Amino acid sequence: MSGTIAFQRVYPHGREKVWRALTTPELLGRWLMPNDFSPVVGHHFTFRTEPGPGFDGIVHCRVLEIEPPERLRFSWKGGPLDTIVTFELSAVGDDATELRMRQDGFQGVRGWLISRMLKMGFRKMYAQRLPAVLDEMDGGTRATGAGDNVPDECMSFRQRAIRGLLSLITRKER
Amino acid sequence: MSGVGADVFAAVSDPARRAILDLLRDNERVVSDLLRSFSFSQPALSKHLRILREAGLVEQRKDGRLRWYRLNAARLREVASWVGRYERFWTERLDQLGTLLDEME
Repeated sequence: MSGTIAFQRVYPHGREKVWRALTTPELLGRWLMPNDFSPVVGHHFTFRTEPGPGFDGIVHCRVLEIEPPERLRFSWKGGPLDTIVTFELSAVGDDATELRMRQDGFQGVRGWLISRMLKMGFRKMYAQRLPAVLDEMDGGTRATGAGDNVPDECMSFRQRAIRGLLSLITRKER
Repeated sequence: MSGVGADVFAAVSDPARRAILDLLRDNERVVSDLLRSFSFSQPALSKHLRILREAGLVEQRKDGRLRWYRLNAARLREVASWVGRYERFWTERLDQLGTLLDEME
């Protein structure tokens, strides 16, 4: 089972300019990550960022497809990820560009959660509300080990949070 | 990670195991509690609990002769928060692209 995340933006700039920001290493480094990209199919390159748990901070990539100024596709492997990133640009009138970005191929439990969350329209909730819910839940989880001295309202909040996550996991696939 | 994912998926694909997770949601339970709530044989229940433990969704604690089982909420949290962080990563980068485009000639 594999999952996809996708984003869409409209920028009030021409398509050639957006294309330059995607395919010039220095410009790409200013908005995404420092890199040694080159707009040549088959070129191997890396993005470098801060390491994190299970991730050495290096994303290994290879250019798969390049069609100026419309489409750029490259592989994206780093930490546990082995995915493909695609950017597509379409002109909107004379002075604006629609950018569609997708990352395909999330595997395992991540891919599974990503695909369910998107299917269920959970994106907004995940971006905005979930981090707070999870922080609360984490605090509540630690406290349960100590017995019943968890304040009622924390307990019920924690239970609600766990219930929400469980329902995500236990709901039958449609 | 993909192996773990497959385990988690297999673990929750069975309605009986989903019911066990649901029961462990609020409280730690011993095997006899769980047996009372379901119509499983003890070997069937043990097998379900083993699969849930291997997927990291349930934890076991021994207390004398008793074995307590509880939901590992941290496991759910870990996976869900990763997804949220990743989503934010791209949102922020695409915002930065917008700022860069405004600055470019």
